[in-house]
Amino acid sequence: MQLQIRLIIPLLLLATACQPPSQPVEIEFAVRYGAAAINCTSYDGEFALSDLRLYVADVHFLTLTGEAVPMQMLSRPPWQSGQVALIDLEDGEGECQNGSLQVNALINGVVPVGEYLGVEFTIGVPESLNHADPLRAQPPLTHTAMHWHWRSGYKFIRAGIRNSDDGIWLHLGSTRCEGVIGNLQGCAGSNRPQVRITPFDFRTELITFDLKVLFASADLFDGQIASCEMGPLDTACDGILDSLGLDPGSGNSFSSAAAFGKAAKQ
Amino acid sequence: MIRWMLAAAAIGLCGLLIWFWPADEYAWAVPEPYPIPAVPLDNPMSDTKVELGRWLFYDSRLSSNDSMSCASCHKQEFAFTDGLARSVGATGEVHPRGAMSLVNVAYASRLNWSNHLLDRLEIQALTPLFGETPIEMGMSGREGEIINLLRTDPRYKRLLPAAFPEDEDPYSILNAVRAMASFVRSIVSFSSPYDRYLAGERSALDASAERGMTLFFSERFECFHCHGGFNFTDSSTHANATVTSAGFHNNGLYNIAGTGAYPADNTGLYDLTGQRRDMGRFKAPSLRNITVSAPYMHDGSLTTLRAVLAHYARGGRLIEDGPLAGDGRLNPYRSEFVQGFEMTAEEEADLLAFLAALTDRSVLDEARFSSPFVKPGS
Repeated sequence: MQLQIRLIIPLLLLATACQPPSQPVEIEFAVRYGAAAINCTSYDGEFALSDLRLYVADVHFLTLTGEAVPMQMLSRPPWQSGQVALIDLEDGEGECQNGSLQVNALINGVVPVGEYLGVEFTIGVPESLNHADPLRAQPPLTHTAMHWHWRSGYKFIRAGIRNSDDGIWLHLGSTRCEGVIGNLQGCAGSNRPQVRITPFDFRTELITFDLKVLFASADLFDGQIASCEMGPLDTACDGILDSLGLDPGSGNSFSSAAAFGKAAKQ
Repeated sequence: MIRWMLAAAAIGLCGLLIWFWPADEYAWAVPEPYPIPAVPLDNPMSDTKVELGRWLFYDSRLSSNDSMSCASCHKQEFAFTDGLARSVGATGEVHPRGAMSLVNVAYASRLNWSNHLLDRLEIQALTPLFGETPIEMGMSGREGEIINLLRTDPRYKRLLPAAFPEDEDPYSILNAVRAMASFVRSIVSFSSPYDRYLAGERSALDASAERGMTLFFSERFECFHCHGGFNFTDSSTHANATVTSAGFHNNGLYNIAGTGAYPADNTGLYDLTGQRRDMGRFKAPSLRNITVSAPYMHDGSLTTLRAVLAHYARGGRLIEDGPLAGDGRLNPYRSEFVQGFEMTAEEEADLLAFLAALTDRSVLDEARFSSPFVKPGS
């Protein structure tokens, strides 16, 4: 008995020592149109926001040596499960028709205590959750506006800008899927953008999503509301996917999404 | 003595079995020898669900401006289609395609005109309710309003707990679509003159329809390859099915500029797969009640059954001018079953007589499928 205790205590101590203490982290998101902030009701930067919701998963913090350390996402309903977070920067006002009144700009998690130089994450819903039965989904996957019933997955990004008859919007999601919903064999086009921002200090800086960059390839002043909803004939998609670092042909990420950047917190 | 005890035990066991047999076993209105539909394990049929689903199906409060219900596009008198070439949503947006019949949809292996991913009515119901491109019932992002309606309406407050007694909180989108799916599955039809003929009532088909039946199932006309089986479609399954067929076909309706292309808003399976070979591939709909569900094809571009027969006789449609010009017969993705055929005027009349014999008046008239909001006789 005594021998056992003698063994167990040092083992316990060792185990605790091996588990490095962790620290809370928080990543804030903001939407921009060029350098300017953009929202659903003001047209200062030529356009008002018409939608801005996106899923974020697989967050990693980058150490000084470039090692990617996974952030443990906290469960914070209705915005975060342990695996995916919903960033919602529209408030249902003005041009944001059929939006939601609530907004969420934050992702919360914990990482081992340490010094970090940058952050990287995936835009989208992890594959195992993306094609599960939407009727039994848990937050933040419960929004009917975010589920893509037709394409049997989720809209990874809903983003749009509008001013009267001019504007454009994007619904991004996986394409060329096979199987049936609830039992999907997979999708040939993943279409999950990767974002890597370095250096990045989550205490003083925030992640920006610049819609001017996202929609740079589109003719925004032709009196039409253009759209990209991932159809093979959607010509508006190619440039948009490029700004997200996605190859339109394969749906693979070829670089960090250019439409994402950083800015100092106000 | 032992024999008596065994017999008593056997009787007791049978009694127990009867006692525990589900009392709410749903009675399908499916006559022999037709199979019963396959139903998802997590949504067994019940009379209470069907009743609840019928109210929901006809409830226009399930649209964003209270202007339309499921029944707005699925009208009983048109075999649950709407008589339009292309259906119109709550906000006036015109859908690229026409509403499909719901008669015997419980047997459909895939739902919609061109979606190989959708095989369950519970999921399908979400597209008209919440879809945005096009807007149908316009409830995207408004699921809270539906749940609020379910919670506050006296009828739903009574029916939801009764239909889903095992649920602590039955007021959910999940249960609403389960009930609607149950009602839609209950719309089965096997009382057409053709069914009665098969059951032995030889006078149910006249000589012309009988000849038409022979032509329909002939290799010369090839109709049955895509419109085969008891439900006259190769998108079909049932409870005892060992093989599920899920056909999609390019029938040569378009061939824009000779490229094989279909109109951009109606490219068929291609829209989801991005594979050129899937251009213009649509589901072959059931032909039951086909005479009352005009106009025809996914976009309603053929107005009569005579035009449909002429289309298949030619082996594809020729559009001579305009932006859609092209010869569908030369569409490179056209189904091998659309080869064209010679057809006399008498044969055309016989085929039309056979197709008319697939109409089941009872499913178009039966009160249990009609709007419960309308009192009989009013």
